[in-house]
Amino acid sequence: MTPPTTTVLAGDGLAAGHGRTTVVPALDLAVEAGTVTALVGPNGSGKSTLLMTLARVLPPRGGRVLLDGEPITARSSVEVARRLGVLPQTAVVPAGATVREVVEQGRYPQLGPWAMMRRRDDSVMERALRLTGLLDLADRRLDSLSGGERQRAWIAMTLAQQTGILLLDEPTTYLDVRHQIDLMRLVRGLCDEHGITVVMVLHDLNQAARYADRLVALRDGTVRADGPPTAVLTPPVLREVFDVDAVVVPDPVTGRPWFVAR
Amino acid sequence: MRAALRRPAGLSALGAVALLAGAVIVLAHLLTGRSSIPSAEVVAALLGRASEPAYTVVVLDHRLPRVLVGLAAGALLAVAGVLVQAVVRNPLAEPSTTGVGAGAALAVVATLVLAPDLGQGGAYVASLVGALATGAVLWAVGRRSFAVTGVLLGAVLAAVTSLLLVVDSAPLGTVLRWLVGSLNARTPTDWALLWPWLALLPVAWALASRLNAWSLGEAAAVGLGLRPGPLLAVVLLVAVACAAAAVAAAGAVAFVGLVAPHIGRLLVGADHRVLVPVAAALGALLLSLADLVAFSVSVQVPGLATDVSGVPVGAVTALIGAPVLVSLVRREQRA
Repeated sequence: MTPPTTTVLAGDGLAAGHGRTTVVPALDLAVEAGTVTALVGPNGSGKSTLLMTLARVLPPRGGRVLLDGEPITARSSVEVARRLGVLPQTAVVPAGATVREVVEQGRYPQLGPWAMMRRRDDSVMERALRLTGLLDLADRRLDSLSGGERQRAWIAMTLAQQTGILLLDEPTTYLDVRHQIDLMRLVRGLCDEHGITVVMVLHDLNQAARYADRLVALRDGTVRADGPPTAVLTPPVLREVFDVDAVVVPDPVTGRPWFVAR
Repeated sequence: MRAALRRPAGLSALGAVALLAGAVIVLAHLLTGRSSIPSAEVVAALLGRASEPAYTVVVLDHRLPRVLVGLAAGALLAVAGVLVQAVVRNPLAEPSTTGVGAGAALAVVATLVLAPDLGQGGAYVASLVGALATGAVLWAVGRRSFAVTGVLLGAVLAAVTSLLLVVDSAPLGTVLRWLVGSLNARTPTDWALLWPWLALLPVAWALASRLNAWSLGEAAAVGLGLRPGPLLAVVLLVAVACAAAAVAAAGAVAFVGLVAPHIGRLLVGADHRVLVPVAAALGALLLSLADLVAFSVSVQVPGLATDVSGVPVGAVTALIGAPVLVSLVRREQRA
């Protein structure tokens, strides 16, 4: 018996690309509420392009993105931003901005441009800073911080949006091992305790298998494998998707699949 | 220092200093000039009780409009600078990045060549129309890569201007005011034509929270619910209008639109909610201060005929602005 599921975010015949190049020709993907999905695949497989198209950051080249069953374009962009938070890879550090000022921007969709004319320092920002371990760095300039600390600031900004859906593009990039684990546990906790739906692009397959409910393996813009980690992190899939010859064993702590290259 | 200035108390102190500096500059403008007027008479002229009508004319019709136009044009240029820098997310952008100043200059030269009879009023209208038309062309042609387009547009327009001046150099003297920027011989009419444009300043300020979100990059901004197209249209329109109004009143004054936002960022940081008003105040102070320098230099140059109307303020802002900018950029890099 599986509990009934609701699709919160879906690509319907979705084609995605940058400029004139189409990276993802046509793809159907349905993301269930309260799950953590990891998009994996080699460089250039289209996973980030797909994520940014689902996030309406890139316009679809064909097909539709459905948010809560309706075309995402049916809602205003700011309404979408109250439901769906995005962590892009390409965030720009404004010259001289502090961590707190960047995290404050996460409040924009909820409060709107007029309320945001007043300086914000509320419990939502406080919580986002605490969850990302940034309370001590809150008043530091972002451009004086390490790559990992900056990445946590962007994650804190996304958390401050307080959305039910989070789309994270390579959230563990630049993070040291300790902060990678903290972030993955945070993601798991957001999902398990608050029912937040997470779709993220990850490069570390073992990390994906350990913390995600579902892996979607992409290559050349098509889905080559889709399912729970045990079904996706297998030697045949690793060979087909990554050209990697590997052994998969149960990881000694959780028993989830764990791959080692041969 | 900056952390302290970001707090409300620090900002109030900053505002008080700016007001004081502004008062000193205005006073200095009113008290200095080619004709020496006793300070008591200057005050009396302001109150409409000067002992000689000539004093009233000098103070109210020459000195006052000049300093007011300088303050207003400086504020408009600085805010145009903040907006343009925000749009392209490059602190080295400035109002001239839009080509608006070059467009205004070309329109003025063309008007003076084709219809010399139109005079000052015609030149004012021409510069305004030229500036706004340049903004429209910029939007139509290159809204996606608008910094490059604007710079190129400016270069082309400046080339056409040079060509026209080679063909007919008669308007060179008049047009220098638009090419370099000058506050010499401002009249109450200039002030009357300029002050309504100050309404753009609160409009620019109202865009501040959106500019803050936009400054995180397009992807993050869309993620926060911003719509880039309409936002950029409004911001560019306001920026071009600010620059056009300033250029029509004072000419294409260099560096104020670049340096004022820089100093502002150094003082209060990148938050546009604070930066827009702070940069406006700084731009006003910088331009009117530079004009004071321009004026003093012209009075002190020995051996020149008495009818020299003064060094154009644009020359002063460029001479002072360039080294100031270099030191600011180096300081930014060290910070």
